[in-house]
Order: sequence, then structure tokens, then C-alpha cells
Amino acid sequence: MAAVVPQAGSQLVSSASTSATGKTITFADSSFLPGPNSSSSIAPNSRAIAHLTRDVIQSVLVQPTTSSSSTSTPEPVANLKRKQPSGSGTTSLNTRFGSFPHSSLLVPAGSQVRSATGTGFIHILRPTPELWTLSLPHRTQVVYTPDSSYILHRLRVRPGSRIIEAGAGSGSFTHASARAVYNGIHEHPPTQSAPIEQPDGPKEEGGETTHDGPDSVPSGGNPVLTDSQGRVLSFEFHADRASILRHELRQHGLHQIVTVTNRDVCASGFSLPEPELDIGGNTYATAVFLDLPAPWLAIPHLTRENGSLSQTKAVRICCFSPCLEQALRTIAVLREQGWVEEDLVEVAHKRLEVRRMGPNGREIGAKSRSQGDDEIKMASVEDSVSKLKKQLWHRKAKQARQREKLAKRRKLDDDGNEVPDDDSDVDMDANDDDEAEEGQEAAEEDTGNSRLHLFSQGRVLVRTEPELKTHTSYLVFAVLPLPWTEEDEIAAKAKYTLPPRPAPQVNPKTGKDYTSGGKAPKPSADGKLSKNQEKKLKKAQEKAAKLALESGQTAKTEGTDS
Amino acid sequence: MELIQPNDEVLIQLPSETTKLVKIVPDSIIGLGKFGSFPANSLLGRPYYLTWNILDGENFGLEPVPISELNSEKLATHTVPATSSSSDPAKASKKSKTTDSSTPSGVDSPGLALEDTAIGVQVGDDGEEDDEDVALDAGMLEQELEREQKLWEAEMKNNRDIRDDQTAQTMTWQEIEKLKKSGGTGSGKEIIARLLQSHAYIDKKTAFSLAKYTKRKTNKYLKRIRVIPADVPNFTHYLITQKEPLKMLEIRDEAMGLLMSWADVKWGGRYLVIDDTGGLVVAAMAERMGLLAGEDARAPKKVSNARKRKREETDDGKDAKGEEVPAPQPEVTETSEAVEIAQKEANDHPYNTPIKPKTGYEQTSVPVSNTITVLHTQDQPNLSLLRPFNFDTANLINTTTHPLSTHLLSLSYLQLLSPESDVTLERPTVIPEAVLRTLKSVKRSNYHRKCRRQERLLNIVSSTRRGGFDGAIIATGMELSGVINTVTPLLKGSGQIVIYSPSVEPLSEVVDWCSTLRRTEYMRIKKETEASLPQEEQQQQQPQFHVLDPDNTNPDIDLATLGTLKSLPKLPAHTSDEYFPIDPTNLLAPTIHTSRVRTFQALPGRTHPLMTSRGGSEGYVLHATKVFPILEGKVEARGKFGSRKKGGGERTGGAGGKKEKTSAKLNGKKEDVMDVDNID
Repeated sequence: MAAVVPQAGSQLVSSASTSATGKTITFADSSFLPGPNSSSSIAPNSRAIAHLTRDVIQSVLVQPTTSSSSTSTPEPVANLKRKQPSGSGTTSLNTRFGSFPHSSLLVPAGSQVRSATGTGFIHILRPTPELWTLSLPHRTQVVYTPDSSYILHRLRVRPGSRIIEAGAGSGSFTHASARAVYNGIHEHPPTQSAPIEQPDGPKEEGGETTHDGPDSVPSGGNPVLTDSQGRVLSFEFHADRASILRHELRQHGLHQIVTVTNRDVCASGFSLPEPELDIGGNTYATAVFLDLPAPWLAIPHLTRENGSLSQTKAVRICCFSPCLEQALRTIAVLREQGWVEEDLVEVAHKRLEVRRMGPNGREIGAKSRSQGDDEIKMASVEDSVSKLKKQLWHRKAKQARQREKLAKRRKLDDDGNEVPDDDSDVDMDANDDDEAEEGQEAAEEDTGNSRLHLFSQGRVLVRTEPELKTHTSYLVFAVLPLPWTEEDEIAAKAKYTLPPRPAPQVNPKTGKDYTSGGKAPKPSADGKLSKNQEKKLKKAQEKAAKLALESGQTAKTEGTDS
Repeated sequence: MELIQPNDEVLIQLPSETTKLVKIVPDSIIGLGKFGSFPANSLLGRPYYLTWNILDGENFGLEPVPISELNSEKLATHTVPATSSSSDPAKASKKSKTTDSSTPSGVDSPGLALEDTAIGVQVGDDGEEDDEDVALDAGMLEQELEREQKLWEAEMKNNRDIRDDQTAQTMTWQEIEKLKKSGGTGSGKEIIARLLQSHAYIDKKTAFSLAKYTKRKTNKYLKRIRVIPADVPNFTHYLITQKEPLKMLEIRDEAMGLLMSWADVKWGGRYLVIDDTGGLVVAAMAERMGLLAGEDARAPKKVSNARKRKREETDDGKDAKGEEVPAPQPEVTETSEAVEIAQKEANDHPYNTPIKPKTGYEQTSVPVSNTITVLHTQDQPNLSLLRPFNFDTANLINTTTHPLSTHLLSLSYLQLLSPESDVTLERPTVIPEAVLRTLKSVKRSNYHRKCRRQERLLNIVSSTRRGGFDGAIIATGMELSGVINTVTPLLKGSGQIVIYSPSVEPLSEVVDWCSTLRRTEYMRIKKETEASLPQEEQQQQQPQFHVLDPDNTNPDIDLATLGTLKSLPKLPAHTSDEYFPIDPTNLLAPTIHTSRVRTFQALPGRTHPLMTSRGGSEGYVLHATKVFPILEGKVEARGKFGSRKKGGGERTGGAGGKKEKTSAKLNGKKEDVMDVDNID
């Protein structure tokens, strides 16, 4: 079922496809999860990423009209001090590269945009969980992409999975896992009777007008979301953080995928507070991510019996703790609780920088060109030797000239103005040398277009980013297999009865047992055995038959498949 | 239930800490070499991740090992089962809470962690463990300190008095053999117990060396296996540690995770892939797009006759390994059956196989979303590693219902760049309906198959050339400039291009091709040539496209097909030269990442990073964003702006952002600097 994809061949933005069960699967109306027919341009009231430089990435909620922004988004929590990524309520994005009116940002994603005053450029990108991670307002320590990508990979979070995330924090991992579980929005047609509650309950009012497009939710009640849909069940014990996250998810159109619950899971476990949607009070997760100070307190709440874990699948867990002591303690509890395959790892990630280095070890183009080029020319031992020779020659010549002058001076027998003149002479000589070289350079530039050569000079070098994250956290992985009782084993044995055991097929010479291994003599290409092989096989079979008879077993001596 | 099904490929973890890929064929015997063998049926219908004892002799088969036993062995340092590792959650939480209260910050001393896991160090007093259960208040800390002290004392034991020679172990191999022969699970455990008993220096060993010894003996005498599913991470681990890692470019989980994340691989997207890992990257993507899940992705319950016959013919059933060999022609008799199955399947799952009811060519049209398009160098893509995921490109006959059969599209560079010269786009000569009816069913289905193939390929070529891909993943040893030039124009704006390379050099080259200096220069030259050309010529000059080549057009391609090809959008081409191998303005901020996981041995009191791990390539991931540079002509007066920019680039190119800024202010030409800065 997970492979089901609506064929959005029609013109509708979210072309629904209806399956036999009456369930409809639509693409989410989210800029993070664009469908095949969603516009390639940045839509009003959606999130966009402003790429200023490699290290400066800002997120912006594009709201071209002031009226909507002033009425729609009251800050869910005003008292919480947090950085506003883009001045909400303002109509333009202000960066160090100038001011960009929101209306100018409604461009195809990936476009370069010039600021209103023409003072600079930024690139406008479609948001992805990775870009959001780099630009989100930090409320807690953020789980960065190297960790989250590895965790989601190892937790096998797939379209249609249900993942518990406890300690939602700033919502970085929430976004990444929402993308991973996303398999469309599955809904039953809205039922006329019993009006269903708002998905996120009454706590969350703020973000309604920010995102509810005309086509995202049919008017007249929310449709019932069905069970096959992938979900992120997010828990956060900090009430303000939880409500801000809810607000953000609604802005991003991910609220139908993520359920944020304000709850201390260590104390009260993982059941959902009220039967939200129609998934009931149980989470039935197949993957669990715990970013908590004391995950060992929460783990005992994760059982199949209380409905927090999937009843039909193996469950994987990852605990994210900065300290080794925490990780060890977590592992101990996991072992006590019957988890297996426990694994303690640490992700070491590096971002690399690529530079062109001149042979002098300096970056090409990094400094003023007159000096830089000069030093680059000393690329080799030969260069150095010849340059030094030249200098020596010049010095010698100078000395010779000085000596000459001195001699002249002595001849003249006049002491008044000679000394300063002498100095100026020396300086002039030096200048002459430099000038000559510069002239040479200039000539080169004119003929060979040395500007072209500049960016391909030296060699490409790689080094790590200036500030490394040498440690993020220890990751504890484990798997909880399905329970397997003796009754289960008996039932399975009855279902898949064992075939009669074939007679051992023994190599007469080595006494090796070939019965099961892949090394048994293979028939040759034409399907017949070579004579030698046949003989051997026969012997072996006879021997085996004898043995079987002797031991009084009634095992059938079936000929082997060859 | 997630249970092992007939014909599933599974990975079996052996006592030697290696893994083996095994297909669970019902009624067969699975041999594990020196570890013995067991009937496949004793795994069928069982869940994954359980541990089994291989039984020999009378009760030939497998016996599950309780998890509590496994974990207690891990937690204990001697053979006496740790009594405290009971699975009573209430007790565990209580214990945790009490210890937590003593150290509120959640940072505990290692000693406490040790105590918590009840590592039974030889402190002589076994009754002590029971005391743990009694909640202790004031005296607790003292006791714990005392215990810690004892623990350290125990650890202070060393190997000074242990002589490492043959006489240490008094048990003879004859005795061991005898015990082994007695069969049953008991025998292995008994051997270990006896070995420990009869070891001369056993009480002189430190707790940790004893644990090591016990573990070694356990691995040797208890034939325990664990069965894990052959999903992408497990399979990757198996390939990299045991198979040919070079074949899959030594791609590790960390790099795979980064690839998938940065390429924004998700359900519903359209992706372009160049995969020299034998299909592993495709498999990982398919997993993330839900194309390996569900009943359809399972192995067919019955191995069809065709497959069986095939197996007999090819002698060892390894026919799937012929990678570069074109897909064998499906047996004709089976084709109709396959079509039937496909149709039935299509009725059950209307979204999997888009149907064009009139033509009956079910699989010819191409889905518009959730697709993986593989670009390959040869006639056929090498996707042999998809076989454990029940998708066998060399033997498609049994996999027509697999989600990948519709959502995995493949075409060669030739078919993409100059489809007009390709032979596979030839339409078979049309046979009129009347004649067709008179033909033998063999010939008829053959004809239909050919038509279907041609039509599907044509659809793939058109949809690919139309572009608009959400992202591209490149894992190849090929020269990257050509690949990038081919792939970049096909991406959506803001689409990600992600490249994996086992070594950093090819990627650093790519970053260098997009360096600020080079880009500035590229833009300058472009503007100059534009300015120097007369207006009319400019229009002709500017866009460079891959065009259909009349000289190389395959004469056998029919007019209708050619018409379709001609109507396709032209692909912009970048003529790469020595200085500008790729168009540096199309890729924003190419960045190289490398990530490596360090695994720890996590045993109480003995936690440390693993002493050895696999070397080889580190694995590097480059990602960049497809962007559109401002088209100057449309935005503003060109000449003035160009000259300014030129100045800026010359003066400040390549310097760090801050430096540039200050120098720019001095010169009063802020905008130029911004431009340069942005590009970086």
C-alpha cells in the first residue's frame, strides 16, 4: 500500500485519487512537500529560504500583503524570547545585502533576486528540512542534518511509518522525520454527522489564517484522516515550545502529518491525550527518537502492551544523549527491557572547504594582486634559486656602482652632498628592479590573459571548516523484536512443517558434509554429471543409505536434486 | 505481522560476527558452513531479530533463545546469570528514579551506571544484588561508594599470575567432542561451564578478561544465529564488510543518509539518478519513496516455471549476475500470464499501474510522480543489487507487479541526448490487426511486447527531456563535468544536485569549477561576448542546445516517433572548455561533507571506541542547489552594470566576506561586492 501514489495527471493542485475503500490520498499542501503539480514559484503565505551566503541562510514567511500578516499571526507566546527570523508583520526581508519586499520574493524557486535598492542579491529557495535546520530559530540544541539523516536511515523511517519523537525542541528533527514518513494525506470523505475536533485541539488557534488555503481543507469540517498515513507523534514537555512548534508546522503545512503533544513522557508515557484524529489514543510507533535528558525514564513506558509501540512490526529506537554516562544508562535499561542489537555510536561530521592555494601556501586572490602574483612566481626551487641569483647579481652590481662612486668621490675630494645622493641612488636601483618585473608581468597579462589563469593557478586543496562540531551526541540504537512465545513457535511449526531430512551427502574422501552447503558437486552445464562426479555421488548416496538403514531410521533416502 | 515469508532474502548473523545473505526457499536446507545447517521452514513465519540456537541430531532445526538470556549474558561478567536483569519495568524505573534523585543533573558517575546494570563482578557476595531492590535513602550513597570501591578492587586484579600456556585448560578436546556429540542446546552450555570450571586460572582472571573468555567460548560452542531483514542499511553493511565494497563505491550508511537527506528524497518526488553502485543508491531511494514496501514488493509466492527452467539452464541460479547483459527475452508463454497478473494487480491497486485501457499497453505510460529515472552508460542499467529487494532487472518476468517496475525508469545517455540515433526507438513494422489475429500466439505477443517496449521508452525519453526533476543523485566514477552538464538543466529551480564520491578529489574539483573567481570571470566573458556581437547574432548565439542531428538519425525510426522527438524541449548544452568545464552560474554553494560513525563497545565499565574498524575510502557527499542567475538584459541597463561588476570582481574576488565589504565601502561600490559575496 505504501507504494500507492496518486496519479496527479489532472490540472488540480491536489488531485485526489480514490481507492476502493473510499479513502482519498492527496498531496500535502506544503512548500516542504511539493506535489507534481504544485507551482514552482514561491506562493504567498508560505515559507521560503533566503540564501545569502553559504553560512548565512535566513528563512522568511512570504506575506506580501500587510493586512494578512497583521491579523493572522499573533505570536503564540509573546513572552518567550526568541529570534524572529524574518520580521513578521513587516513587508520586506531585511538582510545585510539590502531590503527585499515580500512581493519581490514571489519568484520561481531558485531565482536570484535583486534588492529593492539594487544593492545586492540573494537567492530564494524552496524550503527543505535541511535548509530549515540551518535557518530555524533556536529554542534548544538543534539536531543537525548529519545526525538526523543517519538516525532516520537507521531507524528505517519510511513513507507510512509512525515515529515517536520526544523532546521536539526546535523542531529540526520534526521536519526531517515529517518528510520521511510522508506518504500523502490519507482521508476519508468528511462524514456529515459528528463534527470532528480540530486536529491539534483547542490549544492551537494562532496559525489558522496563515496557511489554510482554499483547497487544503474542504470547508464544512475536517476530513477524517485514516490509519495508513505516515505520522510523526511529537512530544514536548515545554508548553511554550510545543505551541510554537505547532504554529510553525501549521505555517509549513505539515500539521496533518505531525501531532505535537505537550507532555512529559518520562512521567506520563506516550499515549495521546485525547483520541485525536481517528488514530486513537495509542501511538503504535515503529520508530522512536528520544532526545531527552533522561531517556531511561521514558523507555519503560515504551511497550507493545500499552499500545505505544507497533503490534505487528519490529520497533527501532534511537536515544540522543550528549554524555556517555547517559548513553550507558540508556543501554542498560534497554537491555533490561528486552531490546536487542543495541549499538552505541557517535557521528563525526566535517564540512570541507575547497580553496586554491598558491605554492606559497596562500589562497589565490585573497590579497592584493601585485604582491600575490609575485610570490606565486616563487613556485619552485629553481625559481627561488634564480631569483636569489638575480638579487645577488643586482647587489653585486650595486656594490660595484657604489664602489665606482666612492672612487669618484674620493677623486673629487668634495664631501658636501655626496652621502644623501648615494642613498637615493640605491633606492632608485631597487625601484628599477621592481619596475622591470612589473613591466614583465603587465606584458604577460596583455598577451596571455593572465586573469584567466589566476583561478586555475596553484592547486586545489581541501580542508575542514574553521569551526568543527567535534561532538554532538552519543546515539544509542536498539531494536525490539516482535514477542515470540512458545505457543507462537508451536503454531509456526505446525504451519511450516519440516520436510523429511535428506540423507547426508558426504564427500567420501574428506568426510565433509555437503548436505546443505553450496559446495555440493554441481552438474555440468549440459545438466549431466561428469562420470567422475556421478561415481562419487553414487558412492556417497549408497553410504548414506547404509548408514540410515543401520541406525534404524525410516528416513527416505531421496535422491538429491541432481 | 512482519514475519519471514517464503522466498524472502534475509541476512543471517553468524557466531563469527559475519553475515550471510540467504534466500529462504521453503522446504530447503540452509547451510552455514562450519556452523551447521537447518531447515528453511524453521525460520518461515517467524519474526526477525530473534536469536536461534542451531540444533543438530534428533531435533534438527532451530530453537529460539530468550532475549532475557541474551541480554543477561551481556550484562554479566561471569557465567552465573545476573539475577537482577529481570524484566520488571516497575523495578527498573524505581531503581532509576532513586539513583536519579541522588544525582539530579542526570549525569551519573560511571560507577552508578555499572551498579544499575548489575554487572556481577566477583565481589564474592552474591546476595548483595538482592539488596538493591530495597529502596535505600540515606545509607544508599555510602553503600554505593563501598560497592564502587569493591568494584575497583575487583578490577585491580591483573594478569600477573596468569601464565598463558596449554596447561591452563585442563579439559581435553576428547571430552569436548563427547559433550558436543551428546547434542541438544544443553551441550554447548555445558561445555562452556565445564571449560570455565576446569580453567586453572579462572579465579585469577579479572572480571573483564573472564567476560571476554566466556564470550569467545560462547561464540565457539553455542551455535547461535540471528536473522535480520535484508533492508538497505543491513544490506549495505553486509556488502561493505563481506562482499565487494569497491563495487558499490564503498558507500556507508552515513554517506547514504546524507545523500538521501540533501537530495530531499521523499514520497511523491521525481529524481534523476546516476548509480554506479550497482543499484544500492536506487534501492535506498526506493525505500524512502515507499517503493520497496507492501505486498507488491514481496517475492512472488510461487517461483514460476520460467524461473525454474531458467535456473536449471544456467546451472546455479546466479543468472542475475550477468549485469551488462541485456535483459533476457522473457519467455513468450509467460508473457501473457505476466500481463494478466499485471492487469489483475492493476485492478486491485489502481495507482500502481497507470492504465491506458484501449491500447492494452499497461506499462507504457510513465507516472508523473514518485519516480526514479536512472541514467546509464550501457545498453542496460546495472542494478543487480536490487535483487534482494525482489526486483531483478535481468529477470523482469516475475517482478511485473513490483512497484519499481512502473516507477523505475531507465534510459541511457544516448537515449537522452540523441534519441534520434538510438535503435531501441525503432517501432516494429506495423502488422495489421487482421493479420495479427492469424498469427501464432507466440508471435503475436512478441509483436505486442516490442511495441510496448518502444512506446514506453519513448515516453521515458520525453518525460526525462521535459525535465523538472526535484533532485539528482550522482554516484559515479565518471568524469563529473559531463554528468553535471547533462543533469543540471533537467532540474527544477532550487532542486538539489547531490554527488557521492569515495574520494574527495573529484568533488573538490567541482567546487573549484564554481569558485567565485571563476564565476566572476565567466560572467564577465559572457557579457563581453554578448556585447561584442550584433543584436541579431546574439539571439542565435546565446542558447546552446543539444539538437537532433540529422546526419546521425537512425533511418529506421518511423516518422511519428521522430515527430515526437522533434517536439521535445531542447536541452541546453554547455560547451565545456579548459577553464569552464561546467556553467558555474547554475549551481549555488556547492558544499562537501564527510561523515563517519564511530562505534563503541558499550559494556558497563568497559566502554570504549572499537579498536579497529574498516578503512578504505571515507566517502564524500557534495550538494549544490540549482539556481537561475539573473538575466541581466531583463532587469536593468546592461552595459553600465557589467563594467561595474567587472571592476568589483577584479579587485575583491575570492576574499573573505568581511574583507570584501570593507574594501568595497572604501571604494564606494557596494553592489559589486555583494554580488561576489552572494555567489560564494
